Amino acid sequence: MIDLRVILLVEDDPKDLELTLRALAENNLANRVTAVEDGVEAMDYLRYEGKYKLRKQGYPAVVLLDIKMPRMDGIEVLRAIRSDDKLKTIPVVILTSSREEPDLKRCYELGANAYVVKPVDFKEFIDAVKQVGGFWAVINELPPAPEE
Amino acid sequence: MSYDHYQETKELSLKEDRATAHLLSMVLQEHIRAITKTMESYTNRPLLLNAVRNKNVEKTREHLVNIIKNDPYTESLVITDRGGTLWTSYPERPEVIGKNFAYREWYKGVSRNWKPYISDVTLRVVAEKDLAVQIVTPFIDGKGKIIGILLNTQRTVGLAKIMQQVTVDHGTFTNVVDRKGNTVFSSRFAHEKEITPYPFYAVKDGLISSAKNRSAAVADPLLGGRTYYLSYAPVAGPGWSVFVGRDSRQIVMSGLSEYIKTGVMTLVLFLLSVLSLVYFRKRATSQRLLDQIRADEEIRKERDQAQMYLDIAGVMIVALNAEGHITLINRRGCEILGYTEQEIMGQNWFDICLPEEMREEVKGVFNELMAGDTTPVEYHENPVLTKAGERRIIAFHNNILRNQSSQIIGLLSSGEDITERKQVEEEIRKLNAELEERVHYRTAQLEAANKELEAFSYSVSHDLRAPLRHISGYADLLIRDLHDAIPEKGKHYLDTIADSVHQMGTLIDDLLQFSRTGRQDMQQADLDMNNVLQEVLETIKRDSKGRGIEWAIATLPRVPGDYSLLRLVWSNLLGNAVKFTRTRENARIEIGVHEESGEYVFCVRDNGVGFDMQYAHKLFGVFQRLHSSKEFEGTGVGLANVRRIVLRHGGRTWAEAEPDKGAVFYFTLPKKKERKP
Repeated sequence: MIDLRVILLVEDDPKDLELTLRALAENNLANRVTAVEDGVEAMDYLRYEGKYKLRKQGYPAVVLLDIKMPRMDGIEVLRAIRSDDKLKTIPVVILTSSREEPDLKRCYELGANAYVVKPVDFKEFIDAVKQVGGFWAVINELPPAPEE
Repeated sequence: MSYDHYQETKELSLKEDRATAHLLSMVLQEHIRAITKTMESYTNRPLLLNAVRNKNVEKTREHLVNIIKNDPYTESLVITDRGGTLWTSYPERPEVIGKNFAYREWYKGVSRNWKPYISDVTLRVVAEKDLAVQIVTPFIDGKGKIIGILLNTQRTVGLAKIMQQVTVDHGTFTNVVDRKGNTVFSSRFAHEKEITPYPFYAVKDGLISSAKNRSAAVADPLLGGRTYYLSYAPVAGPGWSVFVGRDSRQIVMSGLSEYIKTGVMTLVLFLLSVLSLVYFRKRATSQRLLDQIRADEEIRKERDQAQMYLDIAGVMIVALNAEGHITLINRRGCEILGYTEQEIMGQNWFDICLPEEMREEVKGVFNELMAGDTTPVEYHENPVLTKAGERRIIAFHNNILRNQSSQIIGLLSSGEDITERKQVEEEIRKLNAELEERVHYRTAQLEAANKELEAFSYSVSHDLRAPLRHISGYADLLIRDLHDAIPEKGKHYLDTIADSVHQMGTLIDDLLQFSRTGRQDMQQADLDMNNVLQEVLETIKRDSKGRGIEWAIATLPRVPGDYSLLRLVWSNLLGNAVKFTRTRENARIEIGVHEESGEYVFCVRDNGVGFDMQYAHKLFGVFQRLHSSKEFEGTGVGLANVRRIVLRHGGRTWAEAEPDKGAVFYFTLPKKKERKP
């Protein structure tokens, strides 16, 4: 049986959340999605902390990470993930509105796997999500699980 | 007295007289020549010429005073303009300033061909109103223009004094006659208050022809018809004549003595020897006198020339003896230091002209130099103290002076007053420092402004897009999920919303791009334009596949520029060409280039819908469109982008078109890199 790979969606804006989930649903990827509201929750999830202490074992196939978030923003989440030995191999795709070069540079420097700018047009967005989700959650070979 | 004896005596006497006449004429000639030469040396002085040109009374006065000082026979000097109007004189004679003397003989003489001229005897109109002759020289400037006349008045009484230097025989008379036959001077007749013709002037004509025997006999009415001998010599310079006159009775008297009958031979011999001795001595004296006059003249000439060189020099020239006293100083030196030549000659240079704090040190160095212990520094800058206590900075060049036996006898220095130059240099330094500061300040301001703009764009880029996406997303969801429940009209409204959203998105992107092209640092490189074009063409061709566009592309040159920015230029221009030829069956787009005065002129020509030249000036403005969005989509930012990028490269943009006949868009780029981005 094929293991259902999880997509961790880190997004604070409820509208963006609804649209992204819908886009994922259009591509039959919705049932794999775990959504968290901000960076702190994302780290809790990944580290089995807080309300995620007892979640099911296993790491997400990909983290879809927004940049602009309150408290801990996307850049900091990325940094935290990449500096944690257990988490650093998890694929992270930045999914954001901003196409500004400083953000781009920063994210790649910190080790993001991909940087996707959310298109304004919804149809295009659905298409982009299809490609991204399809690739990372289905096609891509996952890194081996880290030693406990 | 026997006839033979009389004849002999007469011949000797007349020979004597001729020699005297010759001597007198030489003396007179030399005198006039000396004066003329002095005047000419002055009228050639650039400083004086300048003062005359500007009719500067003080400056010319200095020179006039100098001439009179150096020549005891010159009493009065006057300067007129070219037309003969007097404007200054020394001694001062206010009663004649402004008067015109063009009617005078001297003016007519000199203005004939503007060469030095000596007038005939005239009656003066000023002062003693006695007889005088005028020696005149013109002022001719460097370009050969006559800018004035220098007039030297020689009173005949003065000339008389000169003539009286030559001793003549007792009983003979000296007469000098001018060209008109009027008496300039006569020892026989004293007339100073009126012009008198010389009674025997006509004799001259007969005498000139015979070279040897320039003596003649006339019947003198004043002597009761008795014979009066005249000996003649010409005064070459002014064309005057000297007549030495001898009463015939004087000859007879000298010979007639019964006492000397026996000793007549002895007397004759004695007379002869005395006469010949006197004659030779006179000749020797006259020769010596002439030589002396000539030697004096040479010395004076050389001295004047040396003085002229010294005075023309724009730098100060000072010579010190081994004790440090001033032995020579030129005019400029006096000017700079503020002393007159008399005041400063002989003074100790260090005590008078150096500021106190450096006196001892410089004196020490000087003494070492004089002792031969050191060699002089070729060039140095030093302050000097003027008479008024002012400090001026002088750039000195020094040379050691040695005598015949190579001993050190002093120092010769030339110095240029660089006080003003130093001040200017200081000014410039201050201004430059100020400028540097200001530039730093402005740069900091600009950088701050740029940073703000960056932050602004960032905000725009991110925060404006999010709501747009939401609008687009929810509008789409509406249609997707409630498709059947929404009537056609509703669907139409929703589509419109989606379109507008899309438009706004493009607009934001375009605006951000426009802002970026203004702010972004230009990466200058030596580009092959063909490569840049090709990259853009690939995308354009791909996007316009199926349109059957005909492309005519010239080979493009290499230019300095920013790759990504220039790519944007082509992208916009070609994109436009493709867009506006959409209505054409056979669209044709041409890309060309030509060279013109240091720039490359690129052009993109299409056969599309063109535009009205009336609105051409709006073409490159931001948000300006010449077609409605119904006809052709677009935000109106593309060409504004092109212009901005081309401007940053130092080029220009323009376009030409005709409605429905297509358009050509031009832009230039300089061949060589511009200095600022």
